[in-house]
Amino acid sequence: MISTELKSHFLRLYQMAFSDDNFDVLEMQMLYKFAKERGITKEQLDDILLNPSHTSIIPESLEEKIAYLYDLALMIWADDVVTDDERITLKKYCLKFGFIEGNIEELSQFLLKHAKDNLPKEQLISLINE
Amino acid sequence: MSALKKMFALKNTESKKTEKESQEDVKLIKLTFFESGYGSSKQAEGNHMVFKACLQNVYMDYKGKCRENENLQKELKAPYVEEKGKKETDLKKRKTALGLLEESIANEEQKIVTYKNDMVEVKRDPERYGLEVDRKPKAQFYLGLIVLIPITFYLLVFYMSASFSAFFKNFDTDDLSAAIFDGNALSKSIEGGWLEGVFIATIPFAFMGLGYLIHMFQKHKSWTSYFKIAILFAVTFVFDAILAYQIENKIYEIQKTPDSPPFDLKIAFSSVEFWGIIFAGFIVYIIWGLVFDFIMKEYDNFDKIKSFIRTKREDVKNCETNINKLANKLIPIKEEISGIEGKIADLQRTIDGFVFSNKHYLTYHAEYVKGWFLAITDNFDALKRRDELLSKCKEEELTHLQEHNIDNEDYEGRLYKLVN
Repeated sequence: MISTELKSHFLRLYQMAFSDDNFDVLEMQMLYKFAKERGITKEQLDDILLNPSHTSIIPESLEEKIAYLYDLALMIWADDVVTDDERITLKKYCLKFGFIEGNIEELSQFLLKHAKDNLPKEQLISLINE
Repeated sequence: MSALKKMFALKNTESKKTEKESQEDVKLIKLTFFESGYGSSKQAEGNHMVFKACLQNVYMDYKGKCRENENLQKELKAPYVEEKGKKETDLKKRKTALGLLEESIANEEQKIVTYKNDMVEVKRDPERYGLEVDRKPKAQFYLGLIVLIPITFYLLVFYMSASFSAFFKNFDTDDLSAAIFDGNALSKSIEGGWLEGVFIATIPFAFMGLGYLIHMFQKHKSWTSYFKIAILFAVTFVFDAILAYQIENKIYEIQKTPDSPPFDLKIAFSSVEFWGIIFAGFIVYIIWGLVFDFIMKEYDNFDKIKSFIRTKREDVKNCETNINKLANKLIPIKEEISGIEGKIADLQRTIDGFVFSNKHYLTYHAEYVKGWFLAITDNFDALKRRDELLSKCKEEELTHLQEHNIDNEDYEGRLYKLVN
């Protein structure tokens, strides 16, 4: 089951991706379908598509950044498959959030691995802060 | 630092601070303008014509400097760049929405093509669509109908005459040849009273009703319906047998001799007429039932195809309404996209061009004018001449500002001006 918090995090991520040159229109269409398949309503998504942009700020603290990315990883696992497109999307978000480019492959794998095991977010963050 | 922490390290965000002109610089420039104004005024003795040329010179000089000052330009253009970024985000959103809508429309159109194809194909290959149908249901239906109609007439005639013979006929020896079949059964029964006529005319329908029931029960292939069918057959057979028995009885009564035994079942069963009546009635009745059942099935078959086509047609209609709805949504989005693209192009032109800052210019302009006027007051003692010069120069200044559209007091509100 995908929680409301997760969904709203995703909507913010979606909003963010629009102002990113790394994401093109086709990818945004793909993410739209990705979200719709995971129970985010069409209205919520269309709301983003059809309303003027209000700048959504990238989270500043490391914890918050990890929380957002981890939520995305959880959403990716919601259908028990990780496609290449989804992997690429996660990496792009990592890049957008300002993580070092060389680490991104490893970082996304780490997030996906723990998301698969459904590790609680708090535990994941404390694991990193150890 | 642990390996994980290293992995989650963030890039150093080097904030490139744009070097702003320091307050010192501004002061210095202001002073230069003031001095230049004072010097020129002194040299030209406050002449208003020279003042006009000098103001133009200052304006052009500032414009050139403003154009060359990259940092200033960057600062002045920043709001435009930000606005453009926002518009580009909006554009991407609308394009995403447009793409999704167009995809949905294409999907609906594809569905329509499939449905239409199905409507044609179902006649050729009904099994593919899960319809168990004979190859040529129509031909079989009409053939069955051709057989059924005469059998129906036969049954009508047979049961009318048989029932008449059994229930109402008075047998004379002359009539024995027509004991079973009476060609005038209906007219004779009407002669006997209209109720008798109705009775004889409707009794065949009871048999046909039984045949219809058999068909209906057959539809539900269950134990109970087979049981019901068996009972229906038995009842019809018994009814037929009763008719045959009665007719046979009547014939026997006429033909019997004083030493004949009383009529009973045994005698009936050994009589040819008895079996003749049963076969001519009951067996034909069974044939009628089977043919009826068969043509009903064929009718259902081509009804199945018809209803399949009907549902597909409705699906096509639904798809078409969906397409209309989607297409209606498409129009405003397309309009928005072209609007946003126009705005972006406009902003891009501003960014590519150069932004002239009225506010900045007016600061230096004021300094220059201050220098000029001060030189006049310093160098002319004659009050009249001084006032005359000042007012003439004032006029020139106003004309200059008007020429460059910076005479309004609300210049704060329109800080920047695009000069291509």
